[in-house]
Amino acid sequence: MAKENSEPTAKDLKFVKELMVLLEDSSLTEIDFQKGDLGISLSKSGPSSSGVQHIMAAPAAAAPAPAAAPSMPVAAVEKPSDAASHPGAVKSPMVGTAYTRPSPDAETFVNVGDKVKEGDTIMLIEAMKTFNPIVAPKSGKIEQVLVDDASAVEFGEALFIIV
Amino acid sequence: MKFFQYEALGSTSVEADRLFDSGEAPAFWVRADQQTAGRGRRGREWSSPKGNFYGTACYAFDGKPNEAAKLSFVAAIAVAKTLNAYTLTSEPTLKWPNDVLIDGRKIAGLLLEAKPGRVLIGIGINLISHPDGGNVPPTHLLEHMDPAVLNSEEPEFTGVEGVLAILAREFDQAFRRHLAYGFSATRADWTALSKGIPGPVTVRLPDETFTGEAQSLLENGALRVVAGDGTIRDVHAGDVFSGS
Repeated sequence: MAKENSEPTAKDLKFVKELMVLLEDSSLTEIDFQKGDLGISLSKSGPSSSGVQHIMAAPAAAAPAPAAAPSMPVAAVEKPSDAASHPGAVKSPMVGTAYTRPSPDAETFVNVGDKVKEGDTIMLIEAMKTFNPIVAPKSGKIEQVLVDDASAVEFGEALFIIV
Repeated sequence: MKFFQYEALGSTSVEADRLFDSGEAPAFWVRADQQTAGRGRRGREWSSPKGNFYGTACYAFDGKPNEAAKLSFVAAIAVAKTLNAYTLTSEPTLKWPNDVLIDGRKIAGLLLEAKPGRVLIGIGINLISHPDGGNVPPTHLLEHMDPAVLNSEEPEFTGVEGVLAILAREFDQAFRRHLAYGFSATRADWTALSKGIPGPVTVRLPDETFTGEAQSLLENGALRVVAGDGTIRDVHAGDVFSGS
């Protein structure tokens, strides 16, 4: 890892610009780039995205800060309020409504502290009446669930943290 | 295309998923005369008495989640075209994202599930009866068919298996068109069948309800609405009702 440096370099900015052009010129609506501890999420919502409010981004649904993770120096250099930068954070692949239980009166898929296996369903995200299971990307323990049942989530928003 | 038909199932979508998991190769359809645990959105019960259509298509699909969501529109188009195979007193119309209505009343319910390697398209169509209640007043197919057509020597409506045959063909066509020409083609087809866009809508979200003017279906599948306060809001999930 290079020396810790939170200021974006000219090279970083050029790269982001290139990504923006790539997104603008493509039929894609979202680009999520990850390399090491660098994460860039770009999304566009339609033909003219200026001034558009994605309404599934409820302001009240701001993710709580992740628990301090002293054993993970990578997280320490990130903004503490940014759960999405936690190395164990699993992010929403889409804009939609997150469901932490299969139906309103059912038990939640998981609770904090549960051990889960890779591929286990942790929650569902619905958009346009299509349900997508969000599964554990690896086996581990659920450290935090960052969204409430039936809450609006944004693309790239941290949903839960698995360690 | 294979068809698995049952007298009764808990849920056609659960059975379709089980068949996929046990090695059945998509595409295939599962249909049941009745469901004992039919599901609507959020675990709402989908009343499933005999005589109506309950089926699930399982298609191979490995797209990203937001790509799977666009199949909601493909399925709605297929259902509208299926209903149009019958001589109706008025044409079916679509409401965002996949409600199918006749005379403003809901005739079909669609629910999709995207899982690794496949997408399940669950479709319920009221044919000979409809349950009471729901967010939108319900209806059923026979109520919108001319009695003369129904009672002719060669009746148009012959029951659920006939509906499955038409629906399977229409969905397959719409799906292949979507893959070949992309969402812009699907969006154009959906828009042509939709009603009330542009027009006033009420949008119900988990934490908020607002009114505004629906403008268009966007390239990402969201419905663009100009809210009463002038802000542009793109609806990705939630319930949208015509009128304000």
